[in-house]
Amino acid sequence: MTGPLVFEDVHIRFGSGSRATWAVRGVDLEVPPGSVVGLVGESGSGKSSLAKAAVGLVPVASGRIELGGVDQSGRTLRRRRVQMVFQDPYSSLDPRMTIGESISEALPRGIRRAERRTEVARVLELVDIDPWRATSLPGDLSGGQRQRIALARALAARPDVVIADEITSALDVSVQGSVLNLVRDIQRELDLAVLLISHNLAVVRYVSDVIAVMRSGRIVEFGGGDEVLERPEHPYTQLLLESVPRIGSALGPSDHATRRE
Amino acid sequence: MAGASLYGQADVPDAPDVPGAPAGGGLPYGLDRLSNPWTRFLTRRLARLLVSVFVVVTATFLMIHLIPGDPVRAALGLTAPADLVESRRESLGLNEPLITQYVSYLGGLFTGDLGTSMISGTPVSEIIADRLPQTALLGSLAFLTAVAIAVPLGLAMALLTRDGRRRGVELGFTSTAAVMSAIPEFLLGVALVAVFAVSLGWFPVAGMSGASSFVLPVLALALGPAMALARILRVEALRVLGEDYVRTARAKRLPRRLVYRRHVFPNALTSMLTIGGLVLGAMLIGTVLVENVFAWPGLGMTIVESILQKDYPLVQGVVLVYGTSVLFLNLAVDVVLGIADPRSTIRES
Repeated sequence: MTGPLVFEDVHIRFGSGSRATWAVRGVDLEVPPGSVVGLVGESGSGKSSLAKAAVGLVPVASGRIELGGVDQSGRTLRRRRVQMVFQDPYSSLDPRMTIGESISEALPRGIRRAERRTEVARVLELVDIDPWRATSLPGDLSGGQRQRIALARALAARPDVVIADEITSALDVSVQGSVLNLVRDIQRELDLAVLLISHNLAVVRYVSDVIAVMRSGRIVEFGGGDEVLERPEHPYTQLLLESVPRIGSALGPSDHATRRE
Repeated sequence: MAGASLYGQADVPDAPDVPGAPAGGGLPYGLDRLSNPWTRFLTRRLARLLVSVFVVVTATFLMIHLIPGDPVRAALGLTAPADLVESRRESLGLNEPLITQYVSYLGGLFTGDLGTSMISGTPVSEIIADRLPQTALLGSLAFLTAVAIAVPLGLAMALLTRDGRRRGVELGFTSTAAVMSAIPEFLLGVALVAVFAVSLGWFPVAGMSGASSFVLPVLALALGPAMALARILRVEALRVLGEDYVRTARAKRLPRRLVYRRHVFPNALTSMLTIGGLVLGAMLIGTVLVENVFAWPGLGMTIVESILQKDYPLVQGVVLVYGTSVLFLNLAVDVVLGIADPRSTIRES
């Protein structure tokens, strides 16, 4: 393990001049080796922008994102230590490439063809997919299976950190649990660092060791899972927890208004 | 790192060759051959081709019978003696019942007999064999030129103008492409002749005489479709560039050229291939007008001459060749599409 993934005073901006929008405003966050950090917040709070910056998809306006002292925000990195799994399992796999080809592409360079095949099969087994599925196209798989493939592809790169961005939100409830269990099991087996992004507090609580709450591009609360979710200090975290719908509870006035719309 | 052994060596069964099926399955008595997506795909496509060819053959046969009046009288002229007309009708078999003529026409096709020209008395198959290579060469070169222009241009424009960048370049390209693809090929041919043959004298005005004589007719045929294809390819490439799997590939820090080569180009080209097949068919038909502008000794010239001379057996033969050529081109495109994108064969089968 090369050390923690460190976000230091990270600012991310979209657009320029008078049209500039600040998606992330001075975030400091650390994802220690072998731990799961949950990142929660409403849509547009900057969670995904922060994650994309860590894999070089979004430029950082200022600040640093480092893993073991190596800047991760550039696009020129050869070794891919931070891997990301995206929300939509239906569109994140190239429909023309077989599952095996997609996973093989993520393997580190310099591995021979025969070894690649073995590696692909092993990574598939790791995510509970039969290795013969390597020759299938993504269209032959269910959403849950595709998300497992996406996870396998991330693991194939032998990362130190996996960023899981809303990986269960496009799946139906019956599949969400199995994917989360898989993430948790793999994280423990491989001693990975995971940054789990979700707007679903239950999902984050289930898997994470520590939780960071993000609002309007800033982290407003950070602490252990129980601490943040049972004794929230920041009013936004309290509001977030109050907004969680509960079976059997009465709808508030705002819910009625939404329904009428 | 704890658990790193999972990345080590392990015994894992090899994946079977048949996609989507576990090893050891399969149907007995060779029926598993039909379970191969490619076999089902080709069987279905060939069956469809046979039906289409049958329709084209029947339509070309009926063509001569649907012309108002007597086609022989029309070909020989109003002043032709009645006994000459009658003997020609007899020799062409037009006095036989329609069904007999149809059976005889089909039988002739199987032996390569497309009838005899009413004007020259030469077998139609001989005339076609003489003229077809020139048209095929012109059409093939034009198609290759169109693809050679459209693919780099369309992809370059997509990369230059993605995410709303370089609005001026986008406007210039889309406007030019729209105008170029709207100009009919014969008009473009006349303009090319006026500028590059008559005014500048760089190329021959007409005829097939050496490599330089190919330039203007090929450009006249290729430029419009090339610009239309480039526009379509740009839009397709822009769509693919925005796909999640391209973003994922970039997040994996694949070198940019690999992202384009493995993900963007193949997915964008697959869509273009379908349209390319239609363009190729249209280009083949376009040779009729372009060959006449450039006095190109091909089938296009032949069909116009035979229509003017009311040489119906020849018209019939050339139309049949054009029609079946388009059908076979479509089949070829489908097969290429199946190779380029395995999903299409699976969907079709």
